[in-house]
Amino acid sequence: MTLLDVRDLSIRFKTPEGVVQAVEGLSFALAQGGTLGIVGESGAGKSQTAMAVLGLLARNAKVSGSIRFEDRDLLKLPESQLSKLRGNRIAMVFQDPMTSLNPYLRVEVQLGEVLERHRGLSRSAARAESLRLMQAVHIPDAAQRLRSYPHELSGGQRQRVMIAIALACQPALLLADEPTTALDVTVQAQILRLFAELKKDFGVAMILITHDLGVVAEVCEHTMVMYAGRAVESGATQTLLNAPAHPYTRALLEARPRIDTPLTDRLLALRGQPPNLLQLPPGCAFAPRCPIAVDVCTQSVPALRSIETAHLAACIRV
Amino acid sequence: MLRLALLRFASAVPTLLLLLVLAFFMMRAAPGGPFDTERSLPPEILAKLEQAYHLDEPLWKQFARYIGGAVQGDLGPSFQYSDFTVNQLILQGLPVSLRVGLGAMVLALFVGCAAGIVAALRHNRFSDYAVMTLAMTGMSIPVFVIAPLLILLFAVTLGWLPAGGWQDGGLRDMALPVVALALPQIAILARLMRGSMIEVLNSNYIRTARAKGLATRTVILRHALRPALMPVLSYLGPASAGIITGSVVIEQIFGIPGIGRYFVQAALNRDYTLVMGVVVFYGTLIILFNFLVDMLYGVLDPRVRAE
Amino acid sequence: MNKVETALAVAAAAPVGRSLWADARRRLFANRAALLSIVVLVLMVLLIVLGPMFSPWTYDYIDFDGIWRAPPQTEGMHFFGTDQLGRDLFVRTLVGGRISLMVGIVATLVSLLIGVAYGATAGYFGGRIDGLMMRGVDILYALPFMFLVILLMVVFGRHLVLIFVAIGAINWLDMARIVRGQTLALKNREFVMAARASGVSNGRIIRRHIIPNLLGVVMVYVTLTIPQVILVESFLSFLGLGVQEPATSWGALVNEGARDMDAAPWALIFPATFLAVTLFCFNFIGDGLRDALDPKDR
Ligand code: SF4
Repeated sequence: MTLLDVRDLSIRFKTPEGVVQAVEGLSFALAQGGTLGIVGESGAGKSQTAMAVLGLLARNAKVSGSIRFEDRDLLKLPESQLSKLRGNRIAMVFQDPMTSLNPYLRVEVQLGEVLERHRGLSRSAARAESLRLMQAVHIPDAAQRLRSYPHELSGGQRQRVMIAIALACQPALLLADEPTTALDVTVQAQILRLFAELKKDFGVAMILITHDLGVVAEVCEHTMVMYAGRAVESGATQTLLNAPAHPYTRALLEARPRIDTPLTDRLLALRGQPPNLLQLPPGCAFAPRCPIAVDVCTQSVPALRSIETAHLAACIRV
Repeated sequence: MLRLALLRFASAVPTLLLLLVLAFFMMRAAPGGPFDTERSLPPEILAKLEQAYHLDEPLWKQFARYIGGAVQGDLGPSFQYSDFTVNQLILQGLPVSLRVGLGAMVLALFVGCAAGIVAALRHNRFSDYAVMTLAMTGMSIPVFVIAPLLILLFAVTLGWLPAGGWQDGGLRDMALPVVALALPQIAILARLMRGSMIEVLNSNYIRTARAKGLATRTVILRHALRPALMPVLSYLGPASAGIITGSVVIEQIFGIPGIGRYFVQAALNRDYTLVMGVVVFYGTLIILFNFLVDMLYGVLDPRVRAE
Repeated sequence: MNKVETALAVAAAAPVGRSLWADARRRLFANRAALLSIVVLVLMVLLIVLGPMFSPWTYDYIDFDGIWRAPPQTEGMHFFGTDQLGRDLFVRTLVGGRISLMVGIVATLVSLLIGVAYGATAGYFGGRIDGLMMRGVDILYALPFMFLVILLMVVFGRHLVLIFVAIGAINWLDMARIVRGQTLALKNREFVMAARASGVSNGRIIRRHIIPNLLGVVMVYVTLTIPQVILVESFLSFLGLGVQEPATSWGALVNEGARDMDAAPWALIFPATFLAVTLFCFNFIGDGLRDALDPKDR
């Protein structure tokens, strides 16, 4: 059953410099308990998509399209209704656990307040439940850690606390924006394992936003690659990894750290700068960096079309 | 925490000493002495006088004597008001100055912070621009201009409040001086508060709080207010210095019998001990206040407290 | 959430390759309050410099037959009226403005010189020297300077040079802190390191990266310090410790005006307005400059 259905989502920001086109004509769906990875460079529109789902876009944003979640269009919900969904049915984990927790409040307050707000628990019930959650995300000395301030925890522990907060009300959808980027490699692996485990135990649907295809490979069934605010390829993660169709996906894959290719070859795979969102190039936004671009590429934006079952790509040359 | 206290204390003591040294030697480096009146005194009386005030001793000895006295809280005799010691004069003015100063401080804190928070929450809208324009005005009009204008309006034209003086020290006496003294600080505090509130509201942890679906009131009161108040707290030291300095002028303009008014008269009459006494007294007060604020900052910020 | 939009905007605007200064200038001129302040300030300076030439009076001409003439006095050419000694207030206000502005600028330059030298030295050497130098600044910082300056004026008499030095000596502390912080930060910034790594010459790095970055804060600091200094000077003058009669400054004029404000309010209102407007302009320009150079969303 479809949990989240995003149709033709566009997000624009009005800035003094001009209109920034952050997301354009984006559509995707996510089944209950499903996992979707959204991959792309920074500025591809991944995070803004997640913020749009949460209804937390900056004030100067203009959004169009629809975001249906549990049969309600989130874009049409008033703030009072939205805030009842946030942290409750839809939760989010952010990139930087160092700054995402309030340095002035104890962990128990920051965890307990979600339970009090959405589940109506009393303070003491919230405390007991907090302890259980802390243990569920494998924080050692959970009882003592609840009394800590964020700065007394390690980066990995803080991210676990963030995950505990996100899971507190058993959400149907978890948005994770680069949840491991700010962490050490070993901690990254642990957190990813935690995500995989939680997906199984809690049955939560997950959208994982990352620039790292390796992370997606470990956690997500489906993957969508974004470039300059548009989806350029989407399909089963295995298909994308083994048979990437879009030149950008291929470049991303080749740019991944691997032992068998020399460094110079890898860096060559993704040359050039991400496009200027104030003035997108005509036609395919990837054309200036595309190794197989031809003249027609700059004439119109290639549509996302099916190239085989459940595998879409937006490139005229595939 | 103890380490922090010691550290702060270690830098407060040299400041205090430096203040004493500067004040003392600046005063002594002055050409002429306190007894150079128009009709010169006979030499033997002058010598007696100098002996009485220990002015005949070598400078270092006088300094040691002064420090010794100051440490015990004795700031010496006044040259001008020869019947009083500097201590008596300061103690006489203190209650009055304290009332006006504290009144201004409290008023400035409440109004300044409230205005700053309103501006931050209505960022880039009309009330934000209004508050900021007013604050800029407050910063650009000196106390000694505001005060006469207030008198002109509320005392001379409208006749609602006394133009000055100190009858019973009640609200009517205090209203104008306190407002005049507080206005520049309100302006500065409002700008400070707005800036720090906006920064906090843009922070990642406020984004988290909103992503949790908390009510806006909870986000602001529980999550944003305390961190946003921290810069205001560290401004309290300079604010107190500003209010004390301002009180010198305000007490002069409104004819309030506080310490500040003595200071100006003493300065004009070259009453060195009294001038120096006031400098030392107020200086110590400011340094002490800074120290307390630093400690309070430490208590309120869990990250500093841990050190 | 505004961070997101600014970050986006900056990231998006970066590849266009407009220079830092062109960008800053465009932002400054887009700020109407700052722009207006610049215009007003230029007019103010012109008036102060040239105005007295268009009056038949001098600032110290005493006329006991014409005391306290209310403005506008077009036949007598006393545009702002006269004071308790019959001196022309138009000329006195403008001449007082010369002193106030001069004190503001010179004393700020004094503090700039000391502050930049001290701060750059501390930041450049870093380590223990830096620690020691900044501890010194901390100690001085807590001193109630205003009182010391008053003491200084009481003891050594009222000297224009003394005012410059005294005020300049207070304000250098801020500058030292700012410059030191910037120098320290710039030494290790990515773009400086990147430029160095890719073989850009030292001179070019200094020209392209260090100076523009230092220059920005210094400019902001200077525009925000000048009004502070003017305020301190007028404060001293108000206490009767500023410039010596018959020379005058805005603070001294306000002091005189305040004494007789019910009889001759114009003697207070004109200099007070000039003073306030000037401070207003400087503050707006300083704010505008800061926003233009550091487009963090304020
Ligand atoms: S449409 Fe053209 S430019 Fe775009 S990815 Fe395909 S080949 Fe490259």
